[in-house]
Amino acid sequence: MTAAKAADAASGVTTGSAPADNPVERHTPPPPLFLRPQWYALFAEHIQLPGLEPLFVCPDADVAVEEVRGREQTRVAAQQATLPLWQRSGQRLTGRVAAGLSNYYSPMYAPTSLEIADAGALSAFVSGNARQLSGFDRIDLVPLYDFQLPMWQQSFAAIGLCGIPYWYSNNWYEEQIQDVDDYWSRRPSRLRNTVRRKQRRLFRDGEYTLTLGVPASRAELLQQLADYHHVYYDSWKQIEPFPAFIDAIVEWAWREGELRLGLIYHENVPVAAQIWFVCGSTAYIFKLAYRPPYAEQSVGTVLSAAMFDYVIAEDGVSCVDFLTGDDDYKRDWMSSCRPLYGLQLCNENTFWGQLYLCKHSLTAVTKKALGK
Amino acid sequence: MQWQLTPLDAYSGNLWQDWQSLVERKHAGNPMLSSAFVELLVEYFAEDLYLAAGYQGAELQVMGLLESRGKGIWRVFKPSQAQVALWVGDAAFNMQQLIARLPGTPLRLDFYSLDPLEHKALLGCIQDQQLTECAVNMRIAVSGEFDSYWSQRPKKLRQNLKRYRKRLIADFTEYRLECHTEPEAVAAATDRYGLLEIRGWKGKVGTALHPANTQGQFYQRLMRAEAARGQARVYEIYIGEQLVASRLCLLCTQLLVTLKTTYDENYRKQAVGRILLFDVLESLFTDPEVAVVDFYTNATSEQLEWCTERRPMFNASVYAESILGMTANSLVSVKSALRKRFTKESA
Repeated sequence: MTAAKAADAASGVTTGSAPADNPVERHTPPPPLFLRPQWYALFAEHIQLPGLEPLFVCPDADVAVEEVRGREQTRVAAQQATLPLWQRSGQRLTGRVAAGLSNYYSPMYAPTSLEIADAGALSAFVSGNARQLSGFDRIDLVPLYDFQLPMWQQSFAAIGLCGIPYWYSNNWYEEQIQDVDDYWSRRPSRLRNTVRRKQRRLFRDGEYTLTLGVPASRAELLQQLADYHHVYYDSWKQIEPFPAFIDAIVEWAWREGELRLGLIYHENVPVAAQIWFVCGSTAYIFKLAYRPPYAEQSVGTVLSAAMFDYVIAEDGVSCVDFLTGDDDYKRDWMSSCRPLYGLQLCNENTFWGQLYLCKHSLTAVTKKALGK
Repeated sequence: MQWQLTPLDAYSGNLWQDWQSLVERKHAGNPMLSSAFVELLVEYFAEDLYLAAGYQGAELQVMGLLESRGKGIWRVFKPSQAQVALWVGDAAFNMQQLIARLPGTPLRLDFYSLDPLEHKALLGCIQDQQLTECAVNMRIAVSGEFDSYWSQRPKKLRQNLKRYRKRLIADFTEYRLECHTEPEAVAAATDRYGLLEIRGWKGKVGTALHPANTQGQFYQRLMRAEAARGQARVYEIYIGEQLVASRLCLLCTQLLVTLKTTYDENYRKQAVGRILLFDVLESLFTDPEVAVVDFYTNATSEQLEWCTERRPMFNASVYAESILGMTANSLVSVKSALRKRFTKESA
């Protein structure tokens, strides 16, 4: 029996499906929500760090560089390809430095409104914005897939910025999933047995209930979102630094019909919670947490299993992506792993850019000499 | 007064029972001083507190929570969630005797947000030059007829409220006021409050309460526990299914204290926060459980237009009458005078 079926067999299970005004099905699959203008707009609106200002580079006829926040910024960014950056404000002794508008919430990075693997479009975009981009001494971009590296290096080399890649993290994923049984057949028997045993125990007495799917109303969404935050606060993870961003992203994804929220309650107290996004044929595991006192009951494992079953059976996804991070437990749930990179672009035509390049060369030589 | 000064967990009696007993005897159960509120404040926001317990004979007269700021400076514990100094009982005493009992070499004891209604005797123990007015607090007596109360408000306020309500109805046809009092409903409404507040300016500056932060956890536990005793209320205004304004309140012996208020900044034009206050007050005038609303805020001139009573709140710094204490006092006075002079000159 699959996790979802086992959970359904227990009386306390409720599953929601996308309400009529939040269509899950779309005619043309949109890019992952992490690369859409709204993601970057909400990022700029809610994640504000001292000394850093969002900067949206786009080939606007009148205003070459847009520096607007919030809704106005969404409108601008939605109209054309835009490279969302952070730039350091004020005069610095480090030259003019920028970075991609990303942090630990960002599992991928690319300009908006461009196909992520389209090298020609990227090259044209960079050339078209050469004046703004070559004004920086250094630009740091992260995280990038390996196939993005040569595209970005070549595109920026053409405007005088030399790209130095470095390893950033790993990304675990499972692709070409045919159905629920196919997915579970690829898992180690240890995991399958644990899931089966823990599910049975958890739902035996009716003390635990499972809720997963798409919240049916905004009121339900907000209550489940609050429950998620309570679990996250009590989990082993550090306090959420930008909860307003999480709220905004979750609500936006819900409106787009792409949110999948899963919660396990013990006597009405939320004890495990997960936020997933379903974009086209891929499910992205964005956030997961459980309360440590419930580790023995493996509430996190049981919820994960139910979420996998749901997105494969109900949403028909063929790929599930664990996003950024190389945690050990991910190996049990996924078969494939790919590296994620950062790219430091140094301007060969400026003093500070050359200094950064020298620093890299020296570091490389030192490492080689030390045999690292 | 005999003082017993111990780390909080070394107090020989039943700490929170003794505290609440003083609150009921001397402060009419004021929810801002109640043991339920203060115990949670200590659990969430305190480190290394001392308890000052003052006795006359064997009878406990005064209790206060103290913390060291280092360099001989002590203060009454007051996290930002506390609106009034956490000092209960109201007996007069010799301040220097208390300071002399503080560990180490005490130079100064600071008090924040002393309330003339709750700390009359304590304020009497402090010299005028040691006091600073820190806020103007306001109250509204909700007895009699609402129409009579409202007719005594400034004309401009009445006209503005009329205009705001008219605009709200014109823009959205209707809205509704909800009041939650049951524990689960109050807990859920407190979560909603946090999800709303974090979207506004407080979220930007990092002071909003939210289920994801310690402050949000504190308020949710407080409100749920107080609701279980029938002493918490959350008022909300909805436009359709959208929560647009919310107010968290505690209630005890006919005193309603407003803890927190927030509104959806997208509805600023409709002044939904003020409409919420208006509607809440209107409902309270027919509510036998409430006689007075206390805001425990530093009221602006606009807010004061609503009140029927106002009173100052005080901070105080009392120096030890020792050579070191008096030297520190003199140095601070000189520094303050120099700063004033330079500020004046640069202006």
